[in-house]
Amino acid sequence: MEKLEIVCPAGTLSAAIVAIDEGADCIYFGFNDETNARNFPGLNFSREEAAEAILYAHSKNCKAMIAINTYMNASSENKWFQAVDDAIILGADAVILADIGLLAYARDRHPKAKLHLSVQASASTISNINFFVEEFGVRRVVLPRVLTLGQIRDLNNSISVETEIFAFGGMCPMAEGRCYLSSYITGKSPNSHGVCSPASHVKYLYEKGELVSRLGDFTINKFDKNELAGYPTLCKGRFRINDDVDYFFEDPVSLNVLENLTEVVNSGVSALKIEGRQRGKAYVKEVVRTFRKAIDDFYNNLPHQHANLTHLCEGGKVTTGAYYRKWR
Amino acid sequence: MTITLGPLLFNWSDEKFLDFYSMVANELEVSDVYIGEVVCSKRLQLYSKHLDGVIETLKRCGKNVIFSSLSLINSEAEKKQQLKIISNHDFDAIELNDLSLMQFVNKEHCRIGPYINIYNPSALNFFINKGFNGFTLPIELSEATILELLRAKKTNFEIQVFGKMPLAISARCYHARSYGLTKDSCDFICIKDRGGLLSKTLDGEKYLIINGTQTMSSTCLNMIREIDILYNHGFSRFRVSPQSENILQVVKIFNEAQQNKFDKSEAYEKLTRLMPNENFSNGFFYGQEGHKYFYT
Repeated sequence: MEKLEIVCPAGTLSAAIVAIDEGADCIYFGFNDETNARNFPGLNFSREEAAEAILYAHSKNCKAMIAINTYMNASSENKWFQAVDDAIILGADAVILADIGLLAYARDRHPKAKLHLSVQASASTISNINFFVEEFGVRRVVLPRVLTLGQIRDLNNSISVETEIFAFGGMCPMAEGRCYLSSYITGKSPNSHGVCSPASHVKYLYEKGELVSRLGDFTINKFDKNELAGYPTLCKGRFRINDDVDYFFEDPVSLNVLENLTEVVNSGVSALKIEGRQRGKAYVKEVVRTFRKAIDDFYNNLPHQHANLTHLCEGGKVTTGAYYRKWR
Repeated sequence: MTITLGPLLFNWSDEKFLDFYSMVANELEVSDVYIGEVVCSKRLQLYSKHLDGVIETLKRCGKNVIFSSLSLINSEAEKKQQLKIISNHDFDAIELNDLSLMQFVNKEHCRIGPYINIYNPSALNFFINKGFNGFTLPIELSEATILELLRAKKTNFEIQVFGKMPLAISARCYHARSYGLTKDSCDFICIKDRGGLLSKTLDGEKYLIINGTQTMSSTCLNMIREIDILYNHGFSRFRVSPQSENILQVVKIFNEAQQNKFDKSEAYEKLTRLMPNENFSNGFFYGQEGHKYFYT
């Protein structure tokens, strides 16, 4: 059995170096524009930084993948085409794509390039995955966060390509790539602009002894003095339905599958993805180190004994998300 | 110019479902009627027994009946369920909302639905080369994007112009969750809320509508003042999404406006008077926040 690959986030060159030094099997990052789904100010890579990260990764036997996983702007497709061309020229081991137009371009222009299907394409069935395999020669699919581990095992038994699943970090409760909530609230969307609930639209105010977090024109949450105030992601706030107030969509919570490694391995996935290109070096260092040790211990049949990552989780809480039916 | 009726997105009782489609067949001035369960495979089991009868009534009254597929197919069982419905009923066409069904259908009789991401000419051309010739565009596209697509190919485009907007789909059922249930044990609780379940902010402002596994806008898309722009660009099909009230009057106003019986601003005023409690929106069209209305 192939050992599970750990795919680590790099929002900056220094985060990439930390991830590689901590034993990442693979890093992933984006260029610094709207071609990638973490298009935040101060993040991501110039072409020069990308070249440097790839060189350093390869010198340490680590792979480097570039996410070009937003949907191309209709009037500037060339920007996305150029990003794919540059990623391949710079020596990226794979490009992670979602847009069918861009996949078609990459297949035609770079037939030997390794194409991964981004979670943003939200391919969740055998026939959906086979469509991308047959049409574009996709070699790995990052599975959307809508499937249980049982469903993932069944999928892997029926498809010919590798799958990668999210293992740690922030989590969308909606099917990725099919969510227009952020553009409804802020005018900026993951699909088109590479952002969800962007910081440019966030405000914190004090009102009547409470801290109020707002996104665009809407109050997402209110916290009293004793509560930890979270970021106002539009689906992770407290809202009112009739007379009830609750986190009706999703709690502030992060995904973590480390407690379920045996089932994850048995599901037949090839790689575990750590979310968090927007997080700092300290996060990357601690999460990658913990995952490296946990995976190595698992394959060496050593007792399960890894560090607690709860303090790096949203709201200090963890979930296994859609991997178990009870989440639904 | 054609007004079409999109698929019913809410879970209605058998009685309401049958009454609604009887009204659509006999009274609603639309040429094409989309029918099918876009949101939740569990709901489809409830009313699939009525499909044959409804299709027959609609056709007898001269409507084209188009099957609209699930927007998130999550298992082989769901895929088989969809294919069975397609092969067992006499639909005039199929609208695909998930690529899982692509290899199994005759492309010439298929449209690409609004839940499949076509944001640019390259993606559009891919599907045209596969033989598709009808496209209902994603809800968040701006006029600028729509123009680029039209420039690339003047094909058979449709877009939603009225009604609550579907904004997200999930494996989780928020409707069940808000009643303290899970999707597996939902007891079809969503049937209680014929227009979905409104969530508000802690300040009491309307936020989003929960409709099973789907999340919708609390505002009502209203593009009556933009349909001339779209028509002049080459658009011919405009979708009205079913609501529990006023659909007959809404379609009448759209039809009369497009026949130039009154101008579009007057039509807008009529819709405002008809639905005084609705907040209208058209922000996506202008590349802005989708919940806002821009009176240009």
